[in-house]
Amino acid sequence: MSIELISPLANTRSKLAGIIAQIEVVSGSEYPYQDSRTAVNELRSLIDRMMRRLDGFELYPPNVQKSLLRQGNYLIVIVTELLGFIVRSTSTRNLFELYYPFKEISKKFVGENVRLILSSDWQYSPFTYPYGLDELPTFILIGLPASESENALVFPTAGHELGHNRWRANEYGKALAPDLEESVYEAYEANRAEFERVFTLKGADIRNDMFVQPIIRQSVNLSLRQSEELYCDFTGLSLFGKSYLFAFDYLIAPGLSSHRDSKYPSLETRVSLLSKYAGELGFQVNGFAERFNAEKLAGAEASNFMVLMADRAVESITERLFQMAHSHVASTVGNPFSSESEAHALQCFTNGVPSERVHTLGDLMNAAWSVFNGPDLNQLNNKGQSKTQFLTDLVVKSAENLEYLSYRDAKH
Amino acid sequence: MLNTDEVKRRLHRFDGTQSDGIVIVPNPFEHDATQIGRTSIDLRLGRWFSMLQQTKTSAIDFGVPRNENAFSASEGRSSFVPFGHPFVLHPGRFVLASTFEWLSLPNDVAAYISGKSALGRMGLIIETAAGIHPGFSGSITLELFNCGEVPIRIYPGMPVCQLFFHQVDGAVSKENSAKGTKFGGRRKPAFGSYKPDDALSSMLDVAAIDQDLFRRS
Repeated sequence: MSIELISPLANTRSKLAGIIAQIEVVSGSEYPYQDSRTAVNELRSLIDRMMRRLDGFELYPPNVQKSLLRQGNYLIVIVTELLGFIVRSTSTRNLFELYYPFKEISKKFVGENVRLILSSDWQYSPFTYPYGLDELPTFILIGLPASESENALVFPTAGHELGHNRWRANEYGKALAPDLEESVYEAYEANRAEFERVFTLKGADIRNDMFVQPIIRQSVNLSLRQSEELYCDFTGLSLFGKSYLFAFDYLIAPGLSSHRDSKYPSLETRVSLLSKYAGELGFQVNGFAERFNAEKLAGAEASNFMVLMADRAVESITERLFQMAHSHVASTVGNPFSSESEAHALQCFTNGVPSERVHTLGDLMNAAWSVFNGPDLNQLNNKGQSKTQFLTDLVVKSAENLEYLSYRDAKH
Repeated sequence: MLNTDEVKRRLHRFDGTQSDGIVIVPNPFEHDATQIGRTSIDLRLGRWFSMLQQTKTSAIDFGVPRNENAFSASEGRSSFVPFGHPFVLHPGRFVLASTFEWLSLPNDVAAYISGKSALGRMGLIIETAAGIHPGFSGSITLELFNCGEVPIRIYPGMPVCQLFFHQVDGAVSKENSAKGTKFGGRRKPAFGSYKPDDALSSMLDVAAIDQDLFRRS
């Protein structure tokens, strides 16, 4: 006996109705700021629009029908993921008070009209969605590790994620691609003998041979991804100073894996460059580079070769990437940290109180890390509170001043 | 009692001219003179609220020690209310809140908080334990209760209580100070840890023995 399947249209409508029911539950959450609620409303609009598009389904030719159903499925997948992200942004472990000052930075650095959602996520590494998502085009979505969501000391890693958003918003990849491509060609030409051995393409014209182009393309794509990561590291460094190094060390040292992810520069390269440019910005963190293990490339010989060629290409624009990041921060955010301001915050934190002055987040983070790394080694106070928890409260209360005073100043 | 001129004189100055002084952040003497009375300073309501989850809490037993972190995680619930948004407190309901300001007291100054009469007349009680000991540091936990007959909308950032300061005769010793270490204090309201004192523990032990003997007999 054969059984008829339910129509795919009915399935899709049912699945979309399920998402709508989920959105209605999520809409009832307590949101710490408006942008999360706006995102939920925008996602709801997308689903409603898809539902309307299905109204004339029977009138479409079969290929259009299938395309519509596929789009429906895709929308359900992405909206579900984004809803989960937004729900996690309401966790009361998150540091909501840091939202306002960080949004001010985001508006200056990425664009005045951006919206921001800071969330925690159940993956250990900080991450951001690519800026300009079709579903939420003006949103910056940054997730910090859920286990560290109550720890202000790791917040500087959000600076790295902000770099990704500026990179995408301004299409720096497109602007750098020609130079990186040329550097990749040069790297292959300089390593021709090894290239010919690994790929058994003896005598191939590296710049014109159709069999070589996909190999070159791989290296170019990897070099673009690696360049973006370095730009983001430099952005974090320029925004937060030495606290970016401390947060980087705290989260990652000695390494997250024994094998290297080829989309990133090697850990050795990243920490070496961070040390170098920290020195150019006027500070050093002793022994920073030595705290990290070397990583191995895990792929086949051919893919490892492509990664190494990408590495060579990226080396050629490292200085340019740092200058880009640093000048972007300087021209948009201004001076994100100063030793005088940090010294005052440090004095307050050392006395166990928040600072009453208005500081940048960079100053507050740098001061907090100085206390954390300082000689007072008691990790718990008499209330069973860790030094991290207490320093977080001091940083957050100090940052709250900025928001409070903005309301007060608006009236005066 | 210290008048507010004296409180201002006793404020901590990080330029070294007044160390171990009173700290209020944000400082109303710099930012908002309307908070300054003759003998009291108004403090504002913070954005964090903590409630008990009634469906999970059958009784609070003061004969049983309570660890604050475990208790908050298992039976508490936190809310963050943004500026400009209300928290609605219904008649007969109790919630912990905290002051927006962070207060730190030196070892020879104590304080107590009191409600504001305009709010009290509408049924809002803001504290059950008013005293603040020398050496205290943190946002002050407020115990909000609506003893009125209609729901009240309260707003983070609104002046919600007043703080009076007292000079303590002779500085409190370090052992007796609330400041066990420099790093003590918090920004969110706290349920607090609890332990029966020695006398109560002894009474409970005796009662337990008596009950055990009764069951066996």
